[in-house]
Amino acid sequence: MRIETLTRMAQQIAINNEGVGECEAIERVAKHLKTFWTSAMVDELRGYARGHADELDPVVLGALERLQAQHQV
Amino acid sequence: MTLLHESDYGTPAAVCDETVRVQVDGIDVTVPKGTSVMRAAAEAGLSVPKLCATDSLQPFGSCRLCLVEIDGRKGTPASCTTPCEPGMVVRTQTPKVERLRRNVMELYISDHPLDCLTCPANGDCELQDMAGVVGLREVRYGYEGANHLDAPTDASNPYFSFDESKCIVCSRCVRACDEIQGTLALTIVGRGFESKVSPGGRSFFDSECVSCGACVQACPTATLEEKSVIELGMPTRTVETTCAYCGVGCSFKAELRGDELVRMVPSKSGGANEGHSCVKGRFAWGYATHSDRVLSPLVRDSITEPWREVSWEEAIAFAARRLKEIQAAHGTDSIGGITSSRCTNEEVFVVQKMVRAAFGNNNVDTCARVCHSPTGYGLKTTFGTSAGTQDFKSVAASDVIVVIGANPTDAHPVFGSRMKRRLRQGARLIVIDPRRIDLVRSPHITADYHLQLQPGTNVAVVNAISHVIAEEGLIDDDFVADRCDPILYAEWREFIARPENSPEALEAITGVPAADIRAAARLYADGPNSAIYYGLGVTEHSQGSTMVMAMANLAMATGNIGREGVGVNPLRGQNNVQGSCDMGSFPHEFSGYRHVSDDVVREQFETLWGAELRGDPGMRIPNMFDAAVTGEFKALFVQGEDVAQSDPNTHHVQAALAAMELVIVQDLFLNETARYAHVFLPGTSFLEKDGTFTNAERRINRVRPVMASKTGKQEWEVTCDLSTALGYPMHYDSASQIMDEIATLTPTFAGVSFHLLDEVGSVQWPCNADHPLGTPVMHVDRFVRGQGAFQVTPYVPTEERSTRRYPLLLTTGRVLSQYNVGAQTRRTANVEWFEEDVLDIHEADAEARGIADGTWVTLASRVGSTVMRARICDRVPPGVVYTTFHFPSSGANVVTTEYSDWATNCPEYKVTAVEVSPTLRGPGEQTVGVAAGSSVAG
Repeated sequence: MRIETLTRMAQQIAINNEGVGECEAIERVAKHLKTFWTSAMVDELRGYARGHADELDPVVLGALERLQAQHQV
Repeated sequence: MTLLHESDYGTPAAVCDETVRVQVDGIDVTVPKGTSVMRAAAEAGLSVPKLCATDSLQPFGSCRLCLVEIDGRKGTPASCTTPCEPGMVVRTQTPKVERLRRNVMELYISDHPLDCLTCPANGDCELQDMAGVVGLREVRYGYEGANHLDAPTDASNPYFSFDESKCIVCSRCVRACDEIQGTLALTIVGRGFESKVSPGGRSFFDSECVSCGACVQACPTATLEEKSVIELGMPTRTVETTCAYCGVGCSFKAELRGDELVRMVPSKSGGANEGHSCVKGRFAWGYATHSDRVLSPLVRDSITEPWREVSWEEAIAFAARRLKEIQAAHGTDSIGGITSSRCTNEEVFVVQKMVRAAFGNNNVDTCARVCHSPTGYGLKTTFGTSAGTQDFKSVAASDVIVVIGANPTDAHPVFGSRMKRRLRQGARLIVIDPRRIDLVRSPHITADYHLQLQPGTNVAVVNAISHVIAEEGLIDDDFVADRCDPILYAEWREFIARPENSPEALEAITGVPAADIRAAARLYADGPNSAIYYGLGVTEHSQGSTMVMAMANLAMATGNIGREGVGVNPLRGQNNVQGSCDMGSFPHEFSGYRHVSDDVVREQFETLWGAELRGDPGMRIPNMFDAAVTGEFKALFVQGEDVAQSDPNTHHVQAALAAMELVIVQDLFLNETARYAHVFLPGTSFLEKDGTFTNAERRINRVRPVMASKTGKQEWEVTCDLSTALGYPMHYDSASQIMDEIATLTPTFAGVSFHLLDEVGSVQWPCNADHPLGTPVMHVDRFVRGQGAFQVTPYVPTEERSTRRYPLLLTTGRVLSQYNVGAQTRRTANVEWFEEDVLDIHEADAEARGIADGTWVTLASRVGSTVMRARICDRVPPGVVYTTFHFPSSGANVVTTEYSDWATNCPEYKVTAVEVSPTLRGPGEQTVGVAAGSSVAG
């Protein structure tokens, strides 16, 4: 998929979850990505985030880290 | 089955706990207080002659045929308007009343054409029946005097005629239009002998008549008669089935003569419609036998080639071979399928099963993605299940009705009539919509508040309403304490009280005066029974899911959940949106909304299906299209959805379809999507289907085959054949067997079977051991998820903004006579009312651009442009334009964008920044990408 689409979707999810504080928002965004996104979409966004962290909302980055940690567990 | 005649008790049933006991012709009968003598007699098995009375209308007492004698009372009162009183002794057959009835009938017949043998209603005429019942043998008055026998016939309506010469002026049609439909298009003009029924002094076609058919249904003579009956003759047998248009899901009696469908008559026993209908369900079914239907499978190697007509076997083998080749070359995840909300639960279930078990992935989605997916997300998150809370009847107990982003009188007309009935009785009305829909001001109805918000600011408005309710101490603390999660409530309470959520702070954004929001909030909170009804004007936004949760918050905060008259109720767009979602059409859920990652649930499916299933979510429709454009997604099975016309950003959809190596379309017609298809599998119309639809109130209704499949197969059989050819054998002997499997695997459907539905008519899920006859109202004592979950719902403006280049905001919707992409209604006489999409524009915006009413304009957004006629009107405010998407020639979705709901990717159809400019070009020259040919080679 086009990375522009994935980043826009992820940013939008983050913004709409930001009313509850950053920690809770990270938790919710991670859960959302795991529930609704395909593994390939999450992997693609994670790959992009490695080189473009400054372009992504910290909540998105936090959510990707949370998913990575869950995956490794 | 023979022709089904439903009982007519003469007057409506009284609703009262108190009863009275009366004696009618020596028979004791106990009835609710308020019951008419006529109805009591009917319930005792006696039939009192009548003409102006019917049990769908309030008693009128004009025909004087139902006269009875009552002991101790003078005269001969009309039994229809006389309520039963305790101990009343009624005699319906006495020499006196029999003589009076004959005299009355004699007067009627003296001014009625004596053409019974050639009359189209011969055998189905209450006047004829009653003449026999009262024993009329002669007419002493002659026929030479003044009469109406030469009165003209109005045949202007395409579906029914009005033969005034046969009219007995019983006013049933006028009252049906008033009481049932609520349009008040008909009236009695003139006085005395000159009295006659008139659609406002104009022809029916030019009048305000909406062709719902209620007047035709009510007419006791051949005055108002379906043209199909006049042409084909009186039907002789009935098949009970369900309409395939909107999410109201009206029950109909399909009436046939031999194997030919003559008319569709709404069923009084239908739980959703209770005898009412709209112009689409009642009359616009001719598409099912339209010559455009393709009845044989077609294949082609490339979309630039002509179609080849082939056998079913060859088409299935072709499709299976190509799918397998594509998966071998590009991976398991390179293919997927889309289920249709137009199809039955059984047809949908087997498609998602094929994708999960035979394709080996979860790349299945449904057209509900582009309409009500935010409803599923929002209501599941807050209440615990993805469905509306009430049955349709519930609105009769509402004191305050809030209509948000819905236009029930056009898009859900039968429910709209039900709602209007309650509003005429005095319920208060709040409309939240950028447009002035009909409900805002219609006969005997005026909205208390029309919050005419800027498109895209729904969440801000509902947050502001909740803010007022919290700030002014209007929260139902007891309900919240008893029923809702206290931690989530505390979070929400803190959030909603913030100053940025006040109506005053948001006024500049929403365009709604703060005072109006405050007043509307107080009205909603005061109820006592306040109900929210909403449509795609809520869901098709970048914050569609947030908005659904914001409405759920509002209902929970005020205790408006869990009883009659309240609730949060989606008005579903298509006939089986609810069902297609229930059946596991979403890529992350099995049937019954259980996530594919749930090992226990997945194991149940794996065991019964004998296949290993994936536990990770698949692609949504927009994901599939995006991945197709980038070359990762190669093949798509599309069941009954015209994505090339209905989905947003047509250029993008066309590019995606064109990039795929295989597109399989299963449909009635070679639609826009079929231009990009390699395999066309002819589908069946609702008149050929055997199965069930689930409507917006979770009502599961039977769809019964009225005629044999014109393709030789049921659609589920075709899916089974394809699955089998792919290496995963699927076989069912009947649609009933599929429902049995659904019931086995889906807790909310556990008690559902064709046998039960045939026995009781319909049930609303959950239908299981706890609720063997279904559940009309949900969340009565507890929410499905346990405690209600308040959600923080910050308003986030859409990225789609008006700019200097695109200064107007476009929003889209439907009209009454057309339906969605028009594939059905464009192939009926409904085009006589609406033959092209038009652009509604405010006078100020039109004048500023030099646009005259009725002239061609170019409608352009940043993604595309199209051409249509302008209609200058004040339904839209300055800065907002509106159009429909019924015709491919205008293709409104050429201009809608890729923006979508953050949670579900439901497209943001309702907000597109556009510019409108005059043009000399006609339609068909819009800048849509060039589509491949779709000619058929034999």
